[in-house]
Amino acid sequence: MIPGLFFETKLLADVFLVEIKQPVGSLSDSVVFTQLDGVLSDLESAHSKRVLIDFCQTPYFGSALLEALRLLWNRVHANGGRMVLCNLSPLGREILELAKFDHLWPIVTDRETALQLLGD
Amino acid sequence: MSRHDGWEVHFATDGRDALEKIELHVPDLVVTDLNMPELDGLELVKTIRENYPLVPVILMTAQGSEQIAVQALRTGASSYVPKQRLLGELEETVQQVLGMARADRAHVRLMRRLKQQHVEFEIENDQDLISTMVQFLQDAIRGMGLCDDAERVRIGVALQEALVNACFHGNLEVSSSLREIDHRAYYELARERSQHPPYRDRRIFVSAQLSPEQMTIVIRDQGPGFDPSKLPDPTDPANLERPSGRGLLLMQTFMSEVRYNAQGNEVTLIRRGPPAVRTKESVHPGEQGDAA
Repeated sequence: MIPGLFFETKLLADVFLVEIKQPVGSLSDSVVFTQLDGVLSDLESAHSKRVLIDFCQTPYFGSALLEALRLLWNRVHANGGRMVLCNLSPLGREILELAKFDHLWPIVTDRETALQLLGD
Repeated sequence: MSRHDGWEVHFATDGRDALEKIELHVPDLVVTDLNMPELDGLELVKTIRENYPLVPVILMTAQGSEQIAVQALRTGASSYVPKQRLLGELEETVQQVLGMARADRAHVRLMRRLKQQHVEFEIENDQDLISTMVQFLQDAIRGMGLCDDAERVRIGVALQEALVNACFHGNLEVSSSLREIDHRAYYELARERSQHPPYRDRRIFVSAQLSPEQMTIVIRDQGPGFDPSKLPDPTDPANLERPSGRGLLLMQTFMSEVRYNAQGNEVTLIRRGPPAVRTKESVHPGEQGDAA
């Protein structure tokens, strides 16, 4: 599991957790996507179909992260998996809703609720 | 500290008590422990940064708390002093931080009196310069009091999107459709083109006109341009899982007005500001206050 600059991944039982470590605007797009490759590789090794994205450390982000989430979702979806997002700031939630990504994945307030939802 | 000439020190029992005291009397500086009941030092630093951005915080760190101290510094603490060296170093650190904070306050006061600012940049296709440019413009917005911090972040997101578009889609002419197929190939092509003419020699031109009422940013690239009306609507359910158009959507949402020139290689972003929301600190400047 990677302790990355932007993404950090962990396994919580069989849930693959991705923590977004800082606002994407502070890093270049290419750095984000280089690190995303590490996340995708970790996901493959974990063989997990339940993915939790935790935004507790990032108050905002832009289209580069939206695109990274879309790519991650493509991989999860292809394997018949599920993805849940949690701990979004009001602005982070607004950005996801603008992109209509709230239609793709459940967005919940905290990690505990997200884990319950993934466990159902 | 209590015996230091010219310093008036107020004490708090924990983070919550400290916030109540700060609310009543905004200090020049806060010295805090990391481990406290009710509200710990890290939370205290965050809250002070949000509500009193000009009040510096010095941490007293115990052995073994270095990691939390680093986190607190990232959150916005100004400095730290290990507990075992408090006697020798605290006073000097307080003096240094107070000096810097006074300069910051004077700068903020001066910027609040700035009537108009016009800056122009010509930058390479360098993502570090783009991020720094966004930070520079956000700082300028903050200085002029054009909007509150939440709006400033929104504007930053919009500017980042516009500048990244100018770099990748404008000057380097890499298309989102390639990213849709293979994001590695997309960035590899961008990296390759950034080293070869004509792409390498193209520049991004940024012109920013700022006043307390309005910000107008014009970003021009030297690419062939594009027709924004041909971008797929990213909010159309059919396009939800495609990569195009989200940057423009964020720009249009977070700015008052976004328009392109006929060629499609220049975007003008306008943000009209409501009366600025002042922080608690600017209501109670505390220019001649105490160290607590």
